[in-house]
Amino acid sequence: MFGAPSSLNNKSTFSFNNSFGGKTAGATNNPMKDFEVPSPPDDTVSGLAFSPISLTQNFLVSGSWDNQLRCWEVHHSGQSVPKAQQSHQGPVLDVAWSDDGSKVFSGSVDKTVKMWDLNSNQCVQIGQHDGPVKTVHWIKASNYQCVMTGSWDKTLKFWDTRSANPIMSITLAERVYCADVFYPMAVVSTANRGIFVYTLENQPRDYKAVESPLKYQHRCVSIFADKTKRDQPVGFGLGSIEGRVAINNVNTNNPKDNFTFKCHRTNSTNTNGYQDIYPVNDIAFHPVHGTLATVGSDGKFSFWDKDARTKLKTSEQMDNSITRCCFNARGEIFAYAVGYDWSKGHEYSNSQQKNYIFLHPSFEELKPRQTAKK
Amino acid sequence: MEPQPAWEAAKENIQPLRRGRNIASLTEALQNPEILEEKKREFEEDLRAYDGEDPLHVWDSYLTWLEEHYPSGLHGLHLPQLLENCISTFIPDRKYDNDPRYVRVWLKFAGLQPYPEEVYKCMSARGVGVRSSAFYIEWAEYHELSGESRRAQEILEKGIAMLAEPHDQLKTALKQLILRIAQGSTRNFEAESEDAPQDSRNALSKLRPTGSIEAPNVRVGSNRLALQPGAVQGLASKSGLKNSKMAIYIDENASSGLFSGMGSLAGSSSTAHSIASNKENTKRAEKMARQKIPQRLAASEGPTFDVVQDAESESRNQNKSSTTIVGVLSTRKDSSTHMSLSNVLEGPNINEKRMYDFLKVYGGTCEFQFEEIRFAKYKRKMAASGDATHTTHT
Repeated sequence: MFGAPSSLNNKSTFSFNNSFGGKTAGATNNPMKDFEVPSPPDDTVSGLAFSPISLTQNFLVSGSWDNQLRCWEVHHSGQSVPKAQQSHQGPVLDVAWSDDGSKVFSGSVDKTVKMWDLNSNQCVQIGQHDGPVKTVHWIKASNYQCVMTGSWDKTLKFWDTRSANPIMSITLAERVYCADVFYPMAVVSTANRGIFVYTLENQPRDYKAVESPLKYQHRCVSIFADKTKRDQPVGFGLGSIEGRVAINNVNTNNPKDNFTFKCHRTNSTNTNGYQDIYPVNDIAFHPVHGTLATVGSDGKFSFWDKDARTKLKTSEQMDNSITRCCFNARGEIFAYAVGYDWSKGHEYSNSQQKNYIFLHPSFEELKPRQTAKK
Repeated sequence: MEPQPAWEAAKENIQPLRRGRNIASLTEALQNPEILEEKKREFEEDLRAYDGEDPLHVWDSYLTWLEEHYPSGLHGLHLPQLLENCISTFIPDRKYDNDPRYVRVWLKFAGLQPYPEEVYKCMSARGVGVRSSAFYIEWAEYHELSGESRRAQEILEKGIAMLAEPHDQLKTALKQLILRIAQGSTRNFEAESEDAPQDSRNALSKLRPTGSIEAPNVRVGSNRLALQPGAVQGLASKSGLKNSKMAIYIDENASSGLFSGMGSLAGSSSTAHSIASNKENTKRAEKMARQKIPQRLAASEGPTFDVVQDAESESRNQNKSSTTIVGVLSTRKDSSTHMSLSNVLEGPNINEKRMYDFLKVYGGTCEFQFEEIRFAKYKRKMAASGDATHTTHT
């Protein structure tokens, strides 16, 4: 039923046991019959991240609108166990791991940046913005390491975790809406469709401003690696609120390398004669195959092969939007969070509706089409 | 000597407002520009987070505040877009149709359009402001300034017939208009053209065919075939359709009141089905402005309906073979920017439907992301429940 048994995949030690499938909730909440993470957040998940490759176990961390940071250990059986919890004074908007997997960083609408030491379970403030902190990323360079935060106060700040003042601050023309870091590249997108690429070698520096390939508000950005050199970032995928993703290679001479594709729309015109268009809430690239996953307000996730320019899979529809998604470091697990994303305003928010995080086996399904055929 | 007030030094950068300016907010705007950003942000959040009985109140106070606090004008703030967003937001809400604040937004929007009459007609067809004197006064004023005082008078009379409030204002306006017409102080083109010497150059009047492709550059005197454009002399100008190529027969015995009723009826029926928003109208007009209307040889074809024939039209028929030069006086293309904004506001494609709240994202003078909309709501909820920072969220 799952199509991803570990026996077929010698790279992966992660396996799902079908017997746990019976433990999941009713089919309407979990149409993909995926593994449900127990004790999910009480409100929409706005930050979701798996532990880095330096840890042999898989830990999943979430930040949510109920002000909480939560951590689970995900076992190879597909079962996950709640491990620890911390809180902010306001809703959490993003989370990030340190490269050694010992710490989790988080940004909140309470304008603070926090560092959670998982070994001691201590949570301390390491940064402060003038507005809510929308993005948090860890930067590990050869000569420095720091936390990069982007805020609605129109600044990008870099914190060394020990000093109350940032080691660097970059002022932008607009509010930061989304960002991603893949050393030595950082991409930040702002309101009014600004895109700024930074190089992080030696110290964060402007690299270039990219003209937006999209017409509507940018919602999410994710950096991808070179096809062969998997540790070299070469471009980014950018999702808009208008059902479209742009693939942009930063240093390409061939304009054909850059393209956009439609996603998270109804397949054809429905009975009313309209095609429904949904926002793209998150993009994640598979760490091994280089394929990507997108999640949208339509409550579906899709897997894509950007090089073959084909769709690999689209999920069934959840009973709510999918707000965030991520792969574990080895690409075996795809985690996605189901909850209201506020795309239709407060009129559609329902505090009674439960939020979920599901785990989907992903190593086989995200293989590029060509290799899958062999 | 007393120190100069702040506004004194900045006088030439202050745009006058019709209702005058509030000195307190003017001083505030000039002295604390950094507070403005913060305040503006508050308003932008309010627009998205308001959940009370009267959402128009937020828009109204925001628009008023913007005018008062950006004394050098609202050029950078996309005012037409903002007004349009406001109009679109409340279009489904019929309770605001005759709310003076909503009517004011429409009228302000109309004033920024190249063809405000389109908007006025749309309002009239939709029933927005039909019970508000301000609407009729503004509409009449537009016509009076375009030299159509008779049309202006009709509109004021219509307003009185519709029992628009406040009634006295309308009556005073009408009385003053009639007085102005009588004194001839209004720029009444109809009167002018009657008084004008016969040998003046007239738009679209017929010229004697020359046989060459060029039109004669002297358009008076013997080169002119008819004194008035169209076949029915005299009537066209009276109806106010000064520049229409084709004259329409009008019964001189019919009262002008009846005609105005017919005119507005025709206007409303053409817009009634596409009335969801006025931008449909403005867009259509824009398209036409860009496109070349296929011109028929005016001389070779008579109207498709029977008109009263007179001697003039016979002479017209004799000149069938003559070439009429078209496009000699082409209209200047309108390059206003807000049209592109309307395009943004409309769906990317007629067959596509946005499944998110577009007006919440793009509603104000700047865009918001979903989390900002939610945060705006969250902040207000926290503030309402007491101390925002120490309340544990449940």
